[in-house]
Amino acid sequence: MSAATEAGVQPSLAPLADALGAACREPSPDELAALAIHGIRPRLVCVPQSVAEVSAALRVAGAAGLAIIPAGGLTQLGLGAPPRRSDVLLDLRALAAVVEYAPEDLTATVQAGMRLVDLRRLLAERGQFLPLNPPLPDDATVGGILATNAHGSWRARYGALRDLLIGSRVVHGDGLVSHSGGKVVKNVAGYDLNKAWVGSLGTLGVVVEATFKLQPLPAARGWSEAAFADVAAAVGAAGRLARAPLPYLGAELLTPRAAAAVGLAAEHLLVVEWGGPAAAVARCQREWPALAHAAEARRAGDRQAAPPTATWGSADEVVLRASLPLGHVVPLLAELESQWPAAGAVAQALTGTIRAAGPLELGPGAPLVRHLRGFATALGGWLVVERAPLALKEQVDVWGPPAGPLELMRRLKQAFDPAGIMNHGRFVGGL
Amino acid sequence: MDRRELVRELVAVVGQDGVLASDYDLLLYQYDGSIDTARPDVVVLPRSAEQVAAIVRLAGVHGVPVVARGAGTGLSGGCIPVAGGILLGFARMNRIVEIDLPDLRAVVEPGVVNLHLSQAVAHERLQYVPDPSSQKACTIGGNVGENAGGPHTLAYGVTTNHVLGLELVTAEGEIVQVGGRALDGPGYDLTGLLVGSEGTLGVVTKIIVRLAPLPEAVKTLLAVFESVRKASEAVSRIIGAGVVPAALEMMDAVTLRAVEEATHFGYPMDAGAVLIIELEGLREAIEEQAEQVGALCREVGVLDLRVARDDRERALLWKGRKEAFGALGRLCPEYYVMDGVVPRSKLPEVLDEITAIAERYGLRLANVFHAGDGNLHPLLMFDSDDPTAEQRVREAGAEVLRVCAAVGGSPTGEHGIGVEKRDLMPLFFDDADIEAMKRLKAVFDPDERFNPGKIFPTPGACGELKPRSVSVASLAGGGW
Repeated sequence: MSAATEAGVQPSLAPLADALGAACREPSPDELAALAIHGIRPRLVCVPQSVAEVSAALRVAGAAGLAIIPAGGLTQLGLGAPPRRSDVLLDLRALAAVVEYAPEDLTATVQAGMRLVDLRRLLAERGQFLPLNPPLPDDATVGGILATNAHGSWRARYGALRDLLIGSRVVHGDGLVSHSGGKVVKNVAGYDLNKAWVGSLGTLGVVVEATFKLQPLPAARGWSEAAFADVAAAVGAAGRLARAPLPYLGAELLTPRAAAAVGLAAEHLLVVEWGGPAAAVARCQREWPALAHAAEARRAGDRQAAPPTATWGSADEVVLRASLPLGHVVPLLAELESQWPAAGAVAQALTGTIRAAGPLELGPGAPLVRHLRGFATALGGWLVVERAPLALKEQVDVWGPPAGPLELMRRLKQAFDPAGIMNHGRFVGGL
Repeated sequence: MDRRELVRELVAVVGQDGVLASDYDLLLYQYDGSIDTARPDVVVLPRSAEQVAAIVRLAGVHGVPVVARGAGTGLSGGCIPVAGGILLGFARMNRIVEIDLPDLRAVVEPGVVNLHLSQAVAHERLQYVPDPSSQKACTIGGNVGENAGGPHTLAYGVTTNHVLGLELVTAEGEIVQVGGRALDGPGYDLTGLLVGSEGTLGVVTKIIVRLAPLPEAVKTLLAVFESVRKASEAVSRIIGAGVVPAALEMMDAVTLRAVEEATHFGYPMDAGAVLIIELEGLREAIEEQAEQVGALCREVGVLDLRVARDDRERALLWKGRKEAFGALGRLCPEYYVMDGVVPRSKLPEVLDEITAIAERYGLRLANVFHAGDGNLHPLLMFDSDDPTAEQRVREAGAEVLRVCAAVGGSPTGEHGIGVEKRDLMPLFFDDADIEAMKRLKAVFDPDERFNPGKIFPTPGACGELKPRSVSVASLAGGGW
């Protein structure tokens, strides 16, 4: 950034508006509410119609010192620390084409602005799917899901985006268009740069195209559930499940408050989703009560559908997300219940990811987050603030300590986004 | 570089018995499982990350390269010190540091032999999934360097899908941790960038891996076909029908004969090709899958479909497959194993083309490979007493990779680029793609200290195979 921008003088939008022409517009007052991040509003919205336009936009923005906020379906725009500035919101939803779908190879290449729901529809026609169940699939785009590493309970069976993404085409912060990986399911040619982009929150550049490894849709799906007296018993059942070679897709553990919040009885509830041949699913459902009762379940049986947990937590609640080693989920859940009794928690009980949501007063909020983060870190895990009002984010680091040397991450950011225009300030360590 | 002074300082770090510097010793470390060779200036056998860090700092002071080496089973020259320098051997860092059952993780040093980890957790009904054919010898550190695969990666993914965290010695000689036992650590996925980076970004000194439950039931089928083409049509049909076996491997007639002589399994000697199809899961699931697979094989005219009757027969079947390269060593003085990947639907036409290429260059060809992934391993047999042989092999190899490129494939599914394929990179990656990789290299290793001369094309290369002066090593019976 130039000295002028540091001093608070806003750089001119003209170079970008000239370069992209009709693809850019001033946002209307109605739009701004949805496009602002903690009150920080973009001055220009650009909707590039081609990869070349994305590249041109970033090249010009870098030279002009314009801060870029890439965006897809706006489902997770509030994630991360508030950006230092927002000059241009780069709306990628016009890049929504299917580049190549090869059902016979179980691979698909799509542009990043495609909505997950549309991709699902396309693949389902051939009995296939991208085995990922992140929140809000009707709005979320492929690019947004990649940038935020969004996922759901199916990760237990199929892995997450770092496992499913086999190729990508990206525009670096300085406009360089490169690809890595390819469209074959096994590939070790050159560095696996796909990994750099998953979960990087758009701070390195923009993913414009993604190739995924697909899976056949399971012939049958089914659900089982069990209720437990406490967290320890419920997690104990999940631990037995994790060690068993059963065809689960995933399992979710709901604390009583979370269960109540989604309209179920307030109890410690473990819900397992099975997927596979009908006979295998039927056997799992048949044998589930024995496994659950061995782990001291109060009751156990079938369920008709997944609990509606994907979007739980009201908009004014604070959401924390912790990742723990699988064997260390209990102490953190117990600490959450005792230190933040107003919150409910949903744990992906086979992968160790916990989301806790509840009302949190500003005064005690920051010390509580710091305490829980310290607790999670001591257990070998991490805790990030997924959603919070600006006032809380100003008091407590959203991300906490990174999972690796910050210096290496800083150099990576510098190498891919030398002008520092991409989502500046939103990621770990102020990157 | 003052070699004598460097050796003296290395001895001060690891002791006299940890440094090998005689001509005889260095000769033994000039190989991997492929055909390129180069001698290091000195071999060091560290016992700890602290020692590795001290060695890397010394290398910085002396301005010499550092090349990490596992068991030397690699097939792309990944651990060949083409620019000399210090070769780090990890034979003494071979402890399984921790088996963490509650978290389903293990922490290992890089010198741990791949199979030893699965053996150490088998009594808990757990496994470490990646199973390269060299798993009896290759190390997990080497697997991390190359992002190794194996037959069972079809259903469960390659090394990168099973590595959660690393301890790393950086170019500055610092010991740092990346990733961890838990998923989704905040920040960039440095672990994912390091796995498969062929030792060019740092030296890994500890690895956190995922442990997975062993399946309830396994069914291993042997499907016999009259030709490679028919067998590959069956593969395309199986994948296209949405059946993903745990493993789906092909061996052609040449391979079969060699393997039969070595194992006496009772492979059909009149077959053109066989598929080994392994199904894993619940008993109910694999029965259903076996029926599906059988029907699909019959659609393309399978000659015979056999099921391994028991664990012994199953083990023998796999022994044949995993030791196939060694068995093929009986047929020729030398061979060259390739590693390309094509979309699975393209297997029949690509295999036809490879056969034609081998015929054109007058080379005998064997095919034994991970068909379910589309990961080919054509093996070209030759005799280096024939003065034209090596050049013909290299040219034929390059042509095979051009075929892979033409159908949208990759030059390597699990062996790595190394020295072998660096000059073919431009067939698959344009200047911008290479530039992106250089950016990553500079982030970790700005002075190009680690494993120089790998991955990146040599200046001026444009997809043409350059003849090299290095001699071809005899590999008969070797090469995993």
